[in-house]
Amino acid sequence: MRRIQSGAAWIGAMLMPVLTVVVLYNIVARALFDRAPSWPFEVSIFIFGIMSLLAGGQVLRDHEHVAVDIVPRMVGRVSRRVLQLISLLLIITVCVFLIIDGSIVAIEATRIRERSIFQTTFNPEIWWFRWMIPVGAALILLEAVRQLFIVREYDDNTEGDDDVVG
Amino acid sequence: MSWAEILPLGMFVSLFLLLGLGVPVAFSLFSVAIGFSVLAWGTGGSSIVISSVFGSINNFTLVAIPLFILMSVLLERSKIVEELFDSLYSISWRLRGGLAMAGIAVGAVLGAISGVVAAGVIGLGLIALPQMMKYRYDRNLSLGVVMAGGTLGQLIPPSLNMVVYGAITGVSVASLFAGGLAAGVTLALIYVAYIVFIGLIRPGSLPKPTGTQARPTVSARGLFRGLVLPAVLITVVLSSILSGAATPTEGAAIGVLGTVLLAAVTGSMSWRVAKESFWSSVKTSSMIIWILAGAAGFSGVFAGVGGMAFVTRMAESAPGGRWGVLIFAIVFVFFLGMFLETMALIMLAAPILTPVVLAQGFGDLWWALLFMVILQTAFLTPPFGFAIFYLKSVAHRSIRIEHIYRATLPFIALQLLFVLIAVFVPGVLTWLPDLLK
Repeated sequence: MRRIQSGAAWIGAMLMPVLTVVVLYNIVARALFDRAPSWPFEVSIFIFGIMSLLAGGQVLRDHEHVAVDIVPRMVGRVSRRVLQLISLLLIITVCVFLIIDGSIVAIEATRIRERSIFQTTFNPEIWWFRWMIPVGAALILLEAVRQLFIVREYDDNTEGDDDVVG
Repeated sequence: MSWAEILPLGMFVSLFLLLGLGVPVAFSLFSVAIGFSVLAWGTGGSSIVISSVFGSINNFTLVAIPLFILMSVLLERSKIVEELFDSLYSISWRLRGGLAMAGIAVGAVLGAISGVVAAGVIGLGLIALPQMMKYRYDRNLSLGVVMAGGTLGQLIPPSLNMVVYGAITGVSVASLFAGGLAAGVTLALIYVAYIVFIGLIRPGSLPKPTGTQARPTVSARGLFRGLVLPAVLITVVLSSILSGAATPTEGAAIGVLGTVLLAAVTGSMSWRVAKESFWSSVKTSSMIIWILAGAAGFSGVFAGVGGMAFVTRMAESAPGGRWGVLIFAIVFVFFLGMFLETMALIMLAAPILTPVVLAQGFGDLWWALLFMVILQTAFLTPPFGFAIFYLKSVAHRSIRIEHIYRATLPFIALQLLFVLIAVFVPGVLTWLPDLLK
């Protein structure tokens, strides 16, 4: 499980320099050839979307999804654990919805081989990009389920956390 | 009360409840959006949430977010912030309150080089606060300086908040950056004036350092690294965006390249630093994008259940005509700002309030900038302003949350004074963008 999350996040991390280079390439091409290619515009959006969605599971694993922890800090250990369970169950429910509805949209996009609506000459197929939402949600779901069954570890990990992690 | 009023109200009440229970902001927003979409339209209703999520990741302006974060993380890892504080203090140390003034200036510059609020408050909390406490500065004043100086990053460009605001309302990000620069520098000067004033009426709260040990020693090389190089970097990034030569996203990429070169020149760049920076910035970006996606889903469902019409009716029923609407909008942003993460708030409130305010004849750029100033004020306002928790997380254990609450009050008063001035003299916010047009 750890490898799945860190692997997905590492793909995102390694896309960071690629994103920088793609955006810089557009500036250089515009400056040198006075006509920017259209592909960096959409490729940078793809990279941005992939990296942001794929790292969500690792962010949850590291307890870095920002939250206001005032009430959980005021209550006792048992109540805090109940609040953690409520939180995890909500995250799981949200992810199930995102996976189901996201997949329905992605299946339809795949069927019609959806293309980008941006008015560029590149005009790439973007149906595959639609799948990033259910994939990103599935990674978060996996992590939330893991934490649900390893409540003790989750509880201990958050013990020394700051009020707001972010 | 009709169904069209219960649902929008219910969405906000449920959101505050979930936030209060400690559910992460992103998933509080998603839970309420999905829950109310199912309530209003059945199980198929939540497809509106998917459209909103896709809209958040399919937006070129928002691509600037990971790039500005990467730039900020690289700067932090290369120790430039510490050198910046030392350099500024080596200039201001002779003045009463010199450390506090250096703190405000570093907060402003940190905002300029990072655009991430947490970085400003945490950076000052780690670097400036221990120094001020060491020289026996008044505790409340020191904490207030960290809070106020640290949140200036929301106004001083490049500001991620402005990138998000521009992306969803269509207001020019370059104009927002120019206005934010003017507002941020003015506020920084107001803070410095306040520090001077306190130094005059209560000199004991800002004791002058004595003895040779208090005198900071910064070499010419240190000044170059800590002051000149970051100044060049900021100027290059901002001028590329403000002149229209580069989009904010391209400006951010130039900033990353400049930071890498700067770190290489100063010898603080290595593959390990780069890898850690990529890892940390992708996680921060992901955290922010999931919040933005959740807020987009919330806004979409809120509009769908009649929330926009409900807010418009509420604003228009406020006494005092157009000024009543403006006060309603200000209070709305201020109130939400005490509970919500800033970018979630922008995504949520900007589409709801902006048409209502603009319909009253107020300028879109002026309102956008006022929105930013109110947001910054709310961000440091007790009991839930996020900056409070960022500071608490890095301050010494002996500093209690009540101390931070008390410390922010004079600075909130200064902020509100600035809001009042900006309402009656709109040019305070818009003179620089107007000049650059």
